[in-house]
Amino acid sequence: MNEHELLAKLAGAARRDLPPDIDVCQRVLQDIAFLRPRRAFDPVLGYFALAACLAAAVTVALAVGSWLRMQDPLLVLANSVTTVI
Amino acid sequence: MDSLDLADVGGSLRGDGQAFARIVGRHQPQITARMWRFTHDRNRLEELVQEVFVECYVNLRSFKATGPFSHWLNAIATRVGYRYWKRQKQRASRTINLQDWDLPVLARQEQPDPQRVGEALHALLARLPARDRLVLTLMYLEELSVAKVAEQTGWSLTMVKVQAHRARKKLRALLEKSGLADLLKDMEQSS
Repeated sequence: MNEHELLAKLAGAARRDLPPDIDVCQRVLQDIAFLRPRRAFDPVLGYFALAACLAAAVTVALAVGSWLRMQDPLLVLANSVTTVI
Repeated sequence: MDSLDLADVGGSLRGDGQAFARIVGRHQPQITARMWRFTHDRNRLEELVQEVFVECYVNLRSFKATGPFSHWLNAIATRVGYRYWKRQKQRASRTINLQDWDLPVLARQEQPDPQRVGEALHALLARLPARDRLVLTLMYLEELSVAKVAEQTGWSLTMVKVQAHRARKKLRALLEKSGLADLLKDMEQSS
């Protein structure tokens, strides 16, 4: 007999071990008296949120890229030279 | 029962407390039996059953009626039970005290006392980590197939098989460490 058979044998007997008779109905009703079911997750709303996040990330990347280009020392020098000329 | 459940789920979502009371009344025995696998303490049992129904109510809108309501409710019960086990600190000692519940005697009896076996098995599995304990409890005590265990736990089929294999190996190591390896050998010879 291996551990699988030992477990199967013990579990077979343990299945007849019945729980005590309890009633939680009133306690559950008291608990939920001030609760409301949560809104279920809406996949369409999720896709919109994801698309909005991606759009925001692209916009930020473009803005940072533009700002870095404006800070390019060569570009600043060229602008200064052009201004002097 | 499914049509009754569907009607009462609709009623509960419209704020009818009596509809939810009927759901609790109808499914309480089944949930109590399931939670009995997670604890053998009566007070804890009441708390866990209560927690299952409160969680069921709060998540009622996510019930899609693609399968029976009882399956959905059982998955919640499994989640609540698993969380409870994870909250519990694992016992420091991973060895089994044979004198406490006579596992060798129970395993050799033809028709052992169900209550004693239930307690012994509960104590034996309590020495395993929560994931191992969960997969063995669902597969052996609840007699669920691999597919059903996967459905109830949210794990993949492969994950369930791997977890069950590992859990059985850990159980064997635990039995050996506790001096119970002889029990397995004796039973192998006698069978």
